[in-house]
Amino acid sequence: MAHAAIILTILLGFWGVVVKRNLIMKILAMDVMSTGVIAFFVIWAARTGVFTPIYKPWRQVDYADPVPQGIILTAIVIGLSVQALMLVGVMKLSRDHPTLEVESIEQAVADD
Amino acid sequence: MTELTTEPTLVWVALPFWLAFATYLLPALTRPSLVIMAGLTIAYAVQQGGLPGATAAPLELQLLDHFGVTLRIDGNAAAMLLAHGLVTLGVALYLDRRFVGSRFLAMQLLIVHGSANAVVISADLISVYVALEVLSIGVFLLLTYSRRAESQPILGESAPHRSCDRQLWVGLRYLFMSNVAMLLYLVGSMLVYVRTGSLAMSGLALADPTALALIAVGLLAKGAVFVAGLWLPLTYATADPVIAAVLSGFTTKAGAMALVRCSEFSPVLAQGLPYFSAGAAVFGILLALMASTPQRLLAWSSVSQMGFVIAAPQWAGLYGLAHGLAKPLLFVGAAITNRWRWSLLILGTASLAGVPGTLGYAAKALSLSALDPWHEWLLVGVTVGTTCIAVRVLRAFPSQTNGDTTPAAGWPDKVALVLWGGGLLWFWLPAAYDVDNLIKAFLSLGLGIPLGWFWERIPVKGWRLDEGLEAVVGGLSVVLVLAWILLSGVNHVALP
Repeated sequence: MAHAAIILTILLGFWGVVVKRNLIMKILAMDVMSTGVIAFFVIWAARTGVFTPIYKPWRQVDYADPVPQGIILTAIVIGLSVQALMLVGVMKLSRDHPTLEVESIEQAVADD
Repeated sequence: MTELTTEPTLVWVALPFWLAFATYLLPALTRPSLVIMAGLTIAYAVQQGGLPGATAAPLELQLLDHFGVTLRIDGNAAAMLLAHGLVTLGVALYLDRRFVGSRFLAMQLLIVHGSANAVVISADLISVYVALEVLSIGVFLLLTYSRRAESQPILGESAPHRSCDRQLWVGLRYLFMSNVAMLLYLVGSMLVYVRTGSLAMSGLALADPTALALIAVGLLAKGAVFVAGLWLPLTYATADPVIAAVLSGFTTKAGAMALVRCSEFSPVLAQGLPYFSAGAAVFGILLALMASTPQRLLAWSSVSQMGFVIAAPQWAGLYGLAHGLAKPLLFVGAAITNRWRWSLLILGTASLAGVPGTLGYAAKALSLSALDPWHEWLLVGVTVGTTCIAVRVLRAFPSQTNGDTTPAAGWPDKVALVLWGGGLLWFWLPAAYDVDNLIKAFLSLGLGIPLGWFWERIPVKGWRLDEGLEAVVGGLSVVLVLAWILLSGVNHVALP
């Protein structure tokens, strides 16, 4: 069930990336897609248990897998910075192209 | 592995990032530290057997434990590192006071240089992911921040703000495409982890086709191979020539080198690679033949050359080095107007077309002789097209700038000629000069030169592919589906 939801989220995000005409919407769709990817890592990490993976000798519980959690933390930070950078670029672009429609921007910047 | 071999490598990997952040405090040191870093990379690459013809034992570093970072410096990586060093050194000399924003660009180039180094030596999936993402952020900033140097001519641009918008849009498109591709890559590497419990590339041997297809599509998009390379032509043609030299010199090849590294560990991927290579070479050359301006000719020819880079994995580094020195010569040579331009252009095109005596010939001969017959003859056919492109690039210039060459040559031009052109001519590989290879080279030159000379008389409509953002992302999904079909078919059906 959780895996179906993950696949659906990633596919919906990719669909939005392809279909949406507005640049902001495309970037949001990319964020939806990356949410799906993050969920995949986190849910797989929880297959062995949901306890925070900090080992205590007196605690006999089911720990979560720390490796995917550690990796996805890096990926979240990278995704956040890429998104911030893109939005700054979009802000600069919106001065001359206030609608931010991809087609109109491409027509305006075409070289011939 | 002893401490003596580990430590210099770790210092060298970390140094560009450290220098880049340190130059925020000491801006005056930006350019010198870029030059020093490039020099260090050249020295390191030579020490690891990066010179063509040299060999050295591959160096494997396992940092931390089972889940740690793995680095592997072999012959391919060392040859590419040599290209990183030489291209960065040449470009560093162009980023002088006349170049607007030179300090910021030099700092950014340090980061790009460091992350490209990290990509080619990493041997685990997540290090490659992180390094590629840093690389794409750095390339985005190089693309969008660059303004034309005052000394360089402005060709056919009416409004300056329009050109700024264009650079910004092209940069955004690159970042968007690469981020989507890297998300797919991340899913693929997680699937490998699910299957094998490890993120080392050696786990790829056990991975299922879906994981391999997702990883391949991420790296194909970063490496601009086949239809996933639709983003490349407009990006190269819009970027400042000096930045285009960096892009074509090594940043785009980083993705392809990572793909080659993955295929060394996964037999299924290695079986699929020739089809991507053939597809990229043919796709790129067909569109290059249709292109009209010199920049677009060069850019589409880069797409086609990426197919050659991944053709024979054992020679990928050498081919990357040969192409990585020839394309910067051409992009810079196309932009300058002094009398040195012809030396730059002729050397670059000679190596691109594979004239015997140049490194381009040696790399091509060695790569092609390692291939299956169908693949080899297909690529020989593509070489005819490449020669045709080279001749067209040379012929395009007299008409564009009618004798307004300035006698004053900037000294960076001379140094670039010595560094890049000298690199192309210096390396002599006797293994490449046997009769078969010489016949192939003269055959393709003999067909390609007349074809290029009389190309204008052949009535071909100059049609162009849609290179908009939607086409770029659409190309990505097409490649994903193709890769999945190809890689799941390899297991069961014996392809030709």
